[in-house]
Amino acid sequence: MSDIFSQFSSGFISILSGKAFLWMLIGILLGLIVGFIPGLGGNFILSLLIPMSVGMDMISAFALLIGANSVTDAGGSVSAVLLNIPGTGKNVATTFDGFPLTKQGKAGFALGSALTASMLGGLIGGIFLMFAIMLVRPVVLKFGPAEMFALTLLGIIFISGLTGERVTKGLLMGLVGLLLSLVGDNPATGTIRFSSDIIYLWDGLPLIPVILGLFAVTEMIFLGIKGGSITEVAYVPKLISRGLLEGFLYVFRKSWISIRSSLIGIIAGVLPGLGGQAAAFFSYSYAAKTSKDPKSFGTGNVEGVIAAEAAASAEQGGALVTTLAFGIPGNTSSALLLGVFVLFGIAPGPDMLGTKLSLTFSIAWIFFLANAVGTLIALPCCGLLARLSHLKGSLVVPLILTFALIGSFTSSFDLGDIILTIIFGIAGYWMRKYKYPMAPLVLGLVLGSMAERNMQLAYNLFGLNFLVRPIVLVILFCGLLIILWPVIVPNKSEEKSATH
Amino acid sequence: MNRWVFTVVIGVVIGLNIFQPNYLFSAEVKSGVQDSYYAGKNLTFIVTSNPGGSYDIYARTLAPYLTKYLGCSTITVNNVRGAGHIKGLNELFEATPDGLTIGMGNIGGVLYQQLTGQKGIRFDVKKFTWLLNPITHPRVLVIDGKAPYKDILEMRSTKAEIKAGGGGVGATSYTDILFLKEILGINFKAIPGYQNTEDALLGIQRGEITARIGTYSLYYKPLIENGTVRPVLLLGSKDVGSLPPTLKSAIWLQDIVPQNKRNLAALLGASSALWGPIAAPPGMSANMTTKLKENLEKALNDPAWIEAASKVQLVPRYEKAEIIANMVAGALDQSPEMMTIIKKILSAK
Repeated sequence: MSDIFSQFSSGFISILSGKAFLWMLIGILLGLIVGFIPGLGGNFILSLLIPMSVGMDMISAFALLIGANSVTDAGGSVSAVLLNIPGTGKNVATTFDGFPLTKQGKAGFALGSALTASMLGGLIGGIFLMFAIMLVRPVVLKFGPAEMFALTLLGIIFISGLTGERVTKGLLMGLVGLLLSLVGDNPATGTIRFSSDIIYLWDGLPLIPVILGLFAVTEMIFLGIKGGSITEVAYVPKLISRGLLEGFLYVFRKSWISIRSSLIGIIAGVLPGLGGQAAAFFSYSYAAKTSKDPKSFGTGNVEGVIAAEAAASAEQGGALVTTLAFGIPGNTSSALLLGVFVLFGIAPGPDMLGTKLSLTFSIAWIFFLANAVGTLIALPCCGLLARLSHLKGSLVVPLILTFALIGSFTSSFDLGDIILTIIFGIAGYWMRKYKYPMAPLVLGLVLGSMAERNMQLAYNLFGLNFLVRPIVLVILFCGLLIILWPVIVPNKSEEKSATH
Repeated sequence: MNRWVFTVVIGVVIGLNIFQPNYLFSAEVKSGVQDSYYAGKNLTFIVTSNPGGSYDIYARTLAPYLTKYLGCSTITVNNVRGAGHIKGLNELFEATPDGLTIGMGNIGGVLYQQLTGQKGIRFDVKKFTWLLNPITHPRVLVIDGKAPYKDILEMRSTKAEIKAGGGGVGATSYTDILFLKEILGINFKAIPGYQNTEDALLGIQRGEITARIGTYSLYYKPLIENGTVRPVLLLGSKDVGSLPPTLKSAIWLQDIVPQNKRNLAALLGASSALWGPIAAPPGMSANMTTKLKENLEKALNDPAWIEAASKVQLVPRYEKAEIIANMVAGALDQSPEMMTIIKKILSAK
């Protein structure tokens, strides 16, 4: 026990001493800027910095990379709230309530809540990473393809939570998302579907160009047509500062939402393949379904912002657990980090809990500190950034479109990224004009390929018996309960809403 | 204030356009110029994996030493990933053969795709200008440490189905299983859909599959050492040098292949050995080819590179270009009868 404590302390000291802390600060600054720019998320910053880490000492390299990667979600939440443009794929759910709050002139409140929730999520994820890494093995080994399929199915059921009052249109969009997820390689047969001979589509529709099209381009088309600025409420710096403080305090007053959402995020991170987008959607939908005022979600309920941000941030902590303990990347940026471990001759796996325990604690500390420091840096900058929503459309539209197209292009450095962004931008305009919600489409796209791959894998392994495995049955029962809940308790939500 | 924000944002946009990642971290030449043709020029090194992937690590580790001997001003590593290496190899094939573009990718993996006429391929593997073939760790077949069979010979006599996890249909980790099933008569059931080696190794630990084949890497080491998995068969070039101690108990495929399956085993061996040959576009002049080959060899014989490569778990050995050309020709020149067998194997479940 004393040995573990000494490793825990030496992990902390190794960050504070030498160059590591400086590199972490550099990483945090870069991560916040890159996160704020639409489309340039954690994968981009890691791709940018990994070549630079060759030749650095190991702790400094991890301080730079994990420091940058840990705060991209926080940076992304700023553009999601101010411009309705998710900075990273994980910030999509943040736009649902964050942007309506900005339109109501409550940008400071929304930003303060988003950044603080992101920080809390990161801190909880960091604590989990430090102390639970040794305990997750039995859980991870219980969740094979069959269980993962059941979980993605549960996520698809959550689509109903994202439809707002337009249930039919929402479900239709969810179906469109699922159909779009079929584009590309069929993992079970190797055949290429709905792609013709376009190699760009063989790996499926890349998420970032789709999201930037649906959110950034669509929003800018609307702003261009409407004219004026994003919010018509006058810019009062004092109000923004006060809002930031209120948002900061509100998250702590409603800390239960952050804790619960962080746990959802951690679970999604620990289970390989689910990822941060799904975590944020799950958490948001859960918050909406269990809220006293579910109808206010989507119109500017800050609890939606808190739920999405805390989950997205905590998910990284969970993903790092499986990366370190099993060498299994919980998300794409963890997969890139795995390459860095190899660069330094480290094999993630049992050694990380034995001879390399000190390094494991160092990484956990970097993640923990980066989230805290990142938010402390970002919060004071929000006053200035909040002005973006007050600038004239004629200035904002060309700039954001340029950012969006650059961000999209960095997805795979292919012209196809730009074309896809424009196509989905135009489609998004028509969808929004005729009140077809976009969130279910994105969730369908995110979960569709995941569900298909796991279902086919589970079927190949167990035949149809995969449907009667104990954990699968429990998850499917929960899904059934969610579907039937309005029938079982018909008036509860309305009563709650009316009372509220 | 509006102007201030505008200026900052425009600055960032322009900055991002100018300082793309690949330009930011290209290797600067440190020593004197060796060749006037390359002086002041940039060489593009196309790799078909993500930053941090195996080809990327190889190229970035090699770049400073190649810069040193070639005398170019910079080497830009360009990650062109997608469509199972095809996208990057298409780009390399269609580049101008002026000695300023080289690349590496999984040639062994795309051999089958070219043989079976996969759509989207715009290259002909035979026509690349080969420069040299870096040797990698062998591909290794590992089985569950708790499996009732101890080695590959006992696996051959086992009648029970052995589930082996592969990547997607068409991925090397999947097709290798199908070929081994045919060559060694093992009752494998190939299970496609595992995203990578680590995912499949977790599948073994969950008890849902028994075997996995993949290029040996650090991930295997602790699992072999603690008995979670057992290495039973090796594929690839025996010229790999000294094997890691964890692989000593495994047998080379070459040593147990039946006489009547030697052609198939040669194809499988070529697929493994052609992990990532370094190539240039077709049609490059003999002079330029010689220049690149010589300087690559000098770089790969540089003691500092050998040390750097060992640190990042690369095998610091290589084969000459002529060997690649022979392997590729041997793999692609199949008789109609063999093609029928290969297509049958690849379409099997």
